[in-house]
Amino acid sequence: MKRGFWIVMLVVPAFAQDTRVARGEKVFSTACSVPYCHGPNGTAGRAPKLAGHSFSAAALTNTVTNGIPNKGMPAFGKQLPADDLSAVIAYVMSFRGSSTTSSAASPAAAPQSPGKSAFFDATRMGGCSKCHELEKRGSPVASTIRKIPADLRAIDVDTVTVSAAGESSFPAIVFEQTEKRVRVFDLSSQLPVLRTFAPAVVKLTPGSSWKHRDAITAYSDAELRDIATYLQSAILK
Amino acid sequence: MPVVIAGVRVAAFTLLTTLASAQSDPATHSDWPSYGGTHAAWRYSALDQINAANVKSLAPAWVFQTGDYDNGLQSTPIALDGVLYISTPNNWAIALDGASGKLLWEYRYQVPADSKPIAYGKQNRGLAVSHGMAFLGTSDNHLIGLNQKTGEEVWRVNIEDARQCGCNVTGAPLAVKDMVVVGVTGGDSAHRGYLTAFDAKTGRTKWRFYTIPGPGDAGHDTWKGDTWKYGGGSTWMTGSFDAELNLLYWGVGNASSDLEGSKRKGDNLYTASIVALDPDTGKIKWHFQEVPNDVWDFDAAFEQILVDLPIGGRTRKVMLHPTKGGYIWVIDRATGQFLKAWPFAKNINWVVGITETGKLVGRKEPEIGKTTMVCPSVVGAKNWNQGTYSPATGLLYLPVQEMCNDLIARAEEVPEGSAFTGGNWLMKAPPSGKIEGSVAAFDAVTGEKKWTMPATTWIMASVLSTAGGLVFTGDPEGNFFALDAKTGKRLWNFQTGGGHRGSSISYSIGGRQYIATPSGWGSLVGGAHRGLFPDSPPPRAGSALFVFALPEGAK
Repeated sequence: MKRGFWIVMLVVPAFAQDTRVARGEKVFSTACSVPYCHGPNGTAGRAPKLAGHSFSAAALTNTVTNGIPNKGMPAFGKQLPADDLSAVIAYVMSFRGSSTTSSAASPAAAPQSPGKSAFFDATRMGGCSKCHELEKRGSPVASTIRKIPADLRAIDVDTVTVSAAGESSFPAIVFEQTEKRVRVFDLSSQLPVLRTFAPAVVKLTPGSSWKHRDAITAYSDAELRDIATYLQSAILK
Repeated sequence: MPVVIAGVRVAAFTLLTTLASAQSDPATHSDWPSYGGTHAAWRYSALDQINAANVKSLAPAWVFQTGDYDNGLQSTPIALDGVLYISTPNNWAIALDGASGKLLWEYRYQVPADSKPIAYGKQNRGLAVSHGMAFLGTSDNHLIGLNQKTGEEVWRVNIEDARQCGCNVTGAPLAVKDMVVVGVTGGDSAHRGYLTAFDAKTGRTKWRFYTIPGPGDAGHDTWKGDTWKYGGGSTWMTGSFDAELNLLYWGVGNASSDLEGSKRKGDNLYTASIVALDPDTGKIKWHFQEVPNDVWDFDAAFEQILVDLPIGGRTRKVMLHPTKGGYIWVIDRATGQFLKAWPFAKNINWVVGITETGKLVGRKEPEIGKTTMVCPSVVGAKNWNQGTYSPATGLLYLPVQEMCNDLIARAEEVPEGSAFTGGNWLMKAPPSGKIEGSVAAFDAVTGEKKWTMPATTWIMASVLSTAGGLVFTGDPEGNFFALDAKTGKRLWNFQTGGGHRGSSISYSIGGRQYIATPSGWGSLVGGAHRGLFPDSPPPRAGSALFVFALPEGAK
């Protein structure tokens, strides 16, 4: 009798939990993964990845029920029946430890300084970030920015002139030069192009006609001052 | 028997070749040179060796397992001179011998380790091939030019840092003239959409067209304040091109935030529009906006099928444009003039109708904090998977879904480069109580439905039509099948073992016709299957290219 009681205690809750997780999976797939948010099985769409993460039941319940204001996470407490709500929470809790992939920090939505906005300006093509990576954003075409000269236009960049078979010579930054291949960032393009050549068909000559000032004509004097201020603070970090 | 088949084939082939050359060849023949078949995006093959009479003998010729089992296989193969080129979700490009399936080369792009989780999911709908190059768009927003013969990297360009824009490439690039043109996702992020053209040989930027006009440009005043900077307008699918008119067409995605449009009052050009660009300069020649101030995420991103049809007593150069909202928009592709719109789905309630001049009537606007039941759903009466037009039947064949959703709009602050949906969606069945999917055939001129082939669940694979009187597609249950193009009757079926979310093609080598289809379930939308069809077994993942042909003796 006593033994039978324990079997009931252990087995039934586990079975009930499995059923709730299964129901939660279905709720998740129609409410949370589609069309864009947390992705199939919580593997991330545009919203953070949930798979492989641990959550406290209290925090998860609060987030799912009340949402996160201004962060895109809806308050499902008003949208889903209570049973579905608890099922989807059980399902997300089941992700714990299911994967070892790294955290999906959502990008900071902190207000940006004017200089930072200009540096990473996505509304025009001629922005700094097409060649510079800073604070884990932008393209690392140029080497890491370590000091800020007074005049951003007068920066001296180590470039070469590339003469390749069948085309006019062009200015470039050397990315890789081995016996097997030569790779350079072609600076004659609005967006720098990493081009690969066989060493036999290409010749590199130090220096070029390329000037930093010509690459940043999209910016006004005031914007460049803002950018310099931002760079100082970013490098100090 | 084989002798008779061969005789029929030769006769029909000659006739079709003649017809095709008279209309600048929108059908494919031995090759499948571009994403939509040709630049006209018919997805129609003039090959007829495999036909309604013999398709029952169709059998696998070979199968290629890509080895990339992350998110299914959506790629449309490109077939050129006997070689197939495909791509996979983890940015692998693969070239295969089209007759044997032998691997010719493989290129695997490495996403930098410090990149953030990839927005819009890892999915890749195919390569473009031209000028001795194969072009691969990547999940972290690069475009890569590969040597077509060897697969070696020739150039790569970062279109925009994906960590910054929250956008990436999921659609196939389009090779046009001496360029490759590629769109990006980002329409549900705080992002200003664009289309970029690169020189095929060098990767140098040719032009960029911003889908949202900047200060001083015509149309800028259709946005309030700074909303133009974050207004979406992605270019995530592949466009079409009319060489005679020298016009490049691209479908522009929804406005952002998706469901909450009060801060961006106005038409929000050129979101949810077709734009026609001068391919040489990237300048806009005309636009037609289907959904002004979109608040349902009703993209205009899907295929533009370029066809000449008799309308109003004369033959017009039109584009047929199927959309999420359940209408086929018929637009004069020379001028952008609206000609008509006809519904291809039953459950449509976001508008009451469309006027003779193309204006929406009776919009059902989501209200902040309230639940609004809208049909079709955000997945669309049709998703990105493409339809096909057959000149042999005059029919347009579409994958159709009858499904709705509850929209809950919400005011959101701008998170630059991150999700900016302005609310959320809860998928649900239409009032009839059942989510239904089908392949349906419509008269391309009148919109009259000719037949429907109901799916077990839904159809999320593209459709292919051929001069053999056949229509091919696949279902999530793993079946790849051939329908009679005139009646919709299922003539042949093959279980591939993986759900279908890709695009089949046809090509020929040495006089033998092949049908190729990707197999393997995946994608963001595909993830909804279990919840939408709880009583059906979940689709099987996988990533294989299945290639079929008639047995050698039957040629």
